[in-house]
Amino acid sequence: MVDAGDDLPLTIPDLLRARAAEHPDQVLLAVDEESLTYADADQRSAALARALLAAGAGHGTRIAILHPNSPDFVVAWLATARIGAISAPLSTFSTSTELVGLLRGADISVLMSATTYRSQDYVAILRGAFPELPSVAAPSLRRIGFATSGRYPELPADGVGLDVLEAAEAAVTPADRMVIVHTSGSTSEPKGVIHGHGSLIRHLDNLNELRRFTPDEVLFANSPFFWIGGFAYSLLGTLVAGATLVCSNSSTAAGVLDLIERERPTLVNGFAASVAHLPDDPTFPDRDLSSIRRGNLFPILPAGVGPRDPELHHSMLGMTEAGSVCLTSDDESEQPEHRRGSFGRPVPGFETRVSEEDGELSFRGPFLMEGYDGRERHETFDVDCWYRTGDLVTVDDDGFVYFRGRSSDMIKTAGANVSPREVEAAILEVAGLVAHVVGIDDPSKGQLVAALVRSPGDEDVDIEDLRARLRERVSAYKVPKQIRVIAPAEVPLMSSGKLDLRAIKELLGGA
Amino acid sequence: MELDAPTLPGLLAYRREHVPDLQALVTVDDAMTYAELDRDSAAISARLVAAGVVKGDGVGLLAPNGLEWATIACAAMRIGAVLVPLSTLLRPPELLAQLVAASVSHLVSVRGFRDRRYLDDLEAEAPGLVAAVSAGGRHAGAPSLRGVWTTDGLPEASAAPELVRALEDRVRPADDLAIMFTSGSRGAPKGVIHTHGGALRATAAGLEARRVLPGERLYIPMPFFWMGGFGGGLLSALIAGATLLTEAEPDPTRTLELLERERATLFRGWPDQAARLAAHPAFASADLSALGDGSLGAVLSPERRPAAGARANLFGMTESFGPYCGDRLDLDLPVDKHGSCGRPFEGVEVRIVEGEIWLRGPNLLRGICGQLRSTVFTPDGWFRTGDLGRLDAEGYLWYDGRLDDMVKVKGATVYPTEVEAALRAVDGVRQSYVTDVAPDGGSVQVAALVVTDADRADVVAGVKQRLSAFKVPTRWLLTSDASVVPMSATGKVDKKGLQRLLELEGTP
Repeated sequence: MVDAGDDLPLTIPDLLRARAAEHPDQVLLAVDEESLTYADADQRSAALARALLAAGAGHGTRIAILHPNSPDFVVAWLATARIGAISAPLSTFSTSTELVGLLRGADISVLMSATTYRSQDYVAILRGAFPELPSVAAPSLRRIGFATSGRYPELPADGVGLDVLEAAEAAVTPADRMVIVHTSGSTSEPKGVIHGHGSLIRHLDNLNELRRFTPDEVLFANSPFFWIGGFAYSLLGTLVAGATLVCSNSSTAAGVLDLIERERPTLVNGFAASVAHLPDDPTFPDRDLSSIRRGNLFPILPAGVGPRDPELHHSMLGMTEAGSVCLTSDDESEQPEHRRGSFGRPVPGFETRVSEEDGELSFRGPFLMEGYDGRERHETFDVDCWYRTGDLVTVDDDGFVYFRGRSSDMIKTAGANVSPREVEAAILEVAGLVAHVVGIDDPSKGQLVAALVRSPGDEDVDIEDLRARLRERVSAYKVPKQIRVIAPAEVPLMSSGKLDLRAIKELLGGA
Repeated sequence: MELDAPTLPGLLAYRREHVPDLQALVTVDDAMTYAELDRDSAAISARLVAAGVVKGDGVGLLAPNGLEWATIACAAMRIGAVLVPLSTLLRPPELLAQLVAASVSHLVSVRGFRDRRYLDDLEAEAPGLVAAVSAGGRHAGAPSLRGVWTTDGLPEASAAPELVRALEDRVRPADDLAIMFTSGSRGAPKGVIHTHGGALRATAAGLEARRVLPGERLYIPMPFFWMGGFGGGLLSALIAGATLLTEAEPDPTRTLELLERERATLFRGWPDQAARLAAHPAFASADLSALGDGSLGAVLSPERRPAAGARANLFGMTESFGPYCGDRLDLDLPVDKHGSCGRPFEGVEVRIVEGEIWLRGPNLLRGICGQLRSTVFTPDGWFRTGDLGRLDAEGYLWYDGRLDDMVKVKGATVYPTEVEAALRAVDGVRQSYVTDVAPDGGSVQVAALVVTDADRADVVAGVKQRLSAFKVPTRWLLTSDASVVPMSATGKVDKKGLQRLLELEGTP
């Protein structure tokens, strides 16, 4: 199924070589003022790959990438994949504590980082965390490079010979691990999800066919590359298609709109919350967004393109473990009323099973993750290789799937997963307070993180101070938007003595 | 011992704590305790770390059995590097192919062994490789390789002990432990990837049946670079808290001295290894009275020797990290189970599909280098062994040969292993190898190579008493010289060579 015997290259080095030969001058990625053609991507990643080899990296070496969506990210990823090393993109939302945890937990030996991004000074953070290497805090870590004009002064200036790079590329097989994408675990430890070259490339090729993503398309998608949506559905999908990807890191709505007008995307995709603020910009009514012909970023679709009622179009379900999208439909038209809220059908290669007991969706097949890093396969898959998603669904007679909620308490907010346990642990750590963290429904973000904090009794809790301290400890998206302090005796319990989650959600203003 | 979350560093720490003074390994002229194995391997770990080895790196080890092999192997595995044992029998092109297939990043090789000087051979095979890597560079011949050292030439600089301990703390059961090469009976060698959890549990599951118990003094004349020596010997001793007696080059006189002097309690290996030893003139005078009943029959005194087929035919493969089924080797099987392989060990599910043995469970291989998981396992997680077998109502497994060895003669199915077993039961037959040949493009025949001093007529008559007529070989080659048998670099019979030999020299 991965190897279908067609001409799709099943390793990143083969895929990049093929696409760069087909359309060298086409733009692979445009981000605000920067862009990267296929030929640039090939040449720059070859130079970096040769430097990485000279630095002692190679097949199976774990290389972390800490960059926002940018040509630097793409070059770092391609260089890593070309030599058979394993990329681990790290979230730019990460705090210093989280970064150290990720570098240690994923046994990273090389980190390629931006110097700064937004308010984060990575040079200061990382030099502070690792005054010298090696360090027992992340004992595999040997090198940290900071991108300076697209180069890493910490890596050898003279790379290995071209023949060595070519031999290293030839040794990469479709079975090799390509990437570890981190997602929130149900405990406080993030989970690294491992995907291979051949399986992820084939999966994206299948998804591209469903979404008719062809070389002449220009995709606008603002999902971050360090999560699966941005990494696979946007970036890898674009490379597989041989198309163009447009992203923006602009902090202003006008900046994003300028980019869209200039780059003229034909297809828009991602989480609607990422563009929800754009229509509020005063210049929005005068903007020419007419290049956009389809996609799911409804707030910016031009008149006549957007849906009358979004709920009457198939939505899609994606997850890190499934290498992005696993439920969708190639039918973009309006559906009859009885299909309201449909997520489409399982995509090719995904065998599904729905538990009769509670409706939990399970998957198996060759495009699922290889597994969670550091966990034995039998801890994650059952004996027949089924992976339980934690998503509760129903399926209609036509095979369309309807999302009904989560069986676990994982919070999904604006495309990110948040573990309540992790936030509760952080609140206990920074303030010594016991809290109950839940997700409450929110029309634009899906869910919001909310916390019911047990009052310590004699003193008041300064909620703003608590938030500020949490922001030091965990990524901003994990910091509860709603916090309410309550006397311990008033915490809603069920007759069994367990927490009454429904009542807690109501107290926090949600359902 | 507790194997809830088994890792090699955890195991070493456990032995250091509980039986520091127990001998871990004994050779003809040297020995080391568990405390020494722990200390010496940690010292080598520190040097490997200082030389740039990190978790997940493939460390190739090319050396004969000995304390040095065990120390360097433990040094690599305890810091989460992936051990790649390499056979001292490999020819230079095979060695290079395995270095590339397993992405070996650091190669540690004995300077010389027998008539071989491996690094010189490697340099001749890929000119400039050893020189470039030794000088800190890389080479297209083996692009992953970035360190090449002799076993006595590891860089002296050492990383801090805290750093080594921090690396050990990071090793989890899910991490890769070793890549073991195996040759299928056809095709290029396969690098089989095993994790700490899988390999250690698989080994532990067989110890009770194999009678490798705490305090046992186990002798196995099998090289550490193959499953039998690595899993069945080294790791078995480590998990059981036993002592392993080993030799770089088994030699009957020396072996008998070692077994006697060290009071070996258990002799395991291939039956023909025991038979060779028993056939040696010095055998009769050697005091092997310490050997337990779980030992191979040939080295036991006649009254303790089990009848042919009475003890389970321990059965396994590299992909299952050694035996996956068996029964207590010191006890006879129930009479109706003689000739069987016993029952599957804990953690292995066995299923027979169209005569082929399929395996499933958490102790099997993680994968094969360069092969997609979906080509190695079925969608519901089964591994197809390529072996033929039957499971009876009581759960005993009966081996019927290799799927690709199965011979169709005039429409009837013949399993070479069955014919081989029948031949071995004939008086005077030391070894037997059966395959199919079709000389001069004629029809398929069953052909046998027999190592024996007996007359051909007696051997043929003996086998005719035991087999249906269609299974009796119709082409024969008898020899008294076992070195005639064509062997592959991985120590198995070279099937193609066997077929060629029987086609050329066999007679009807």
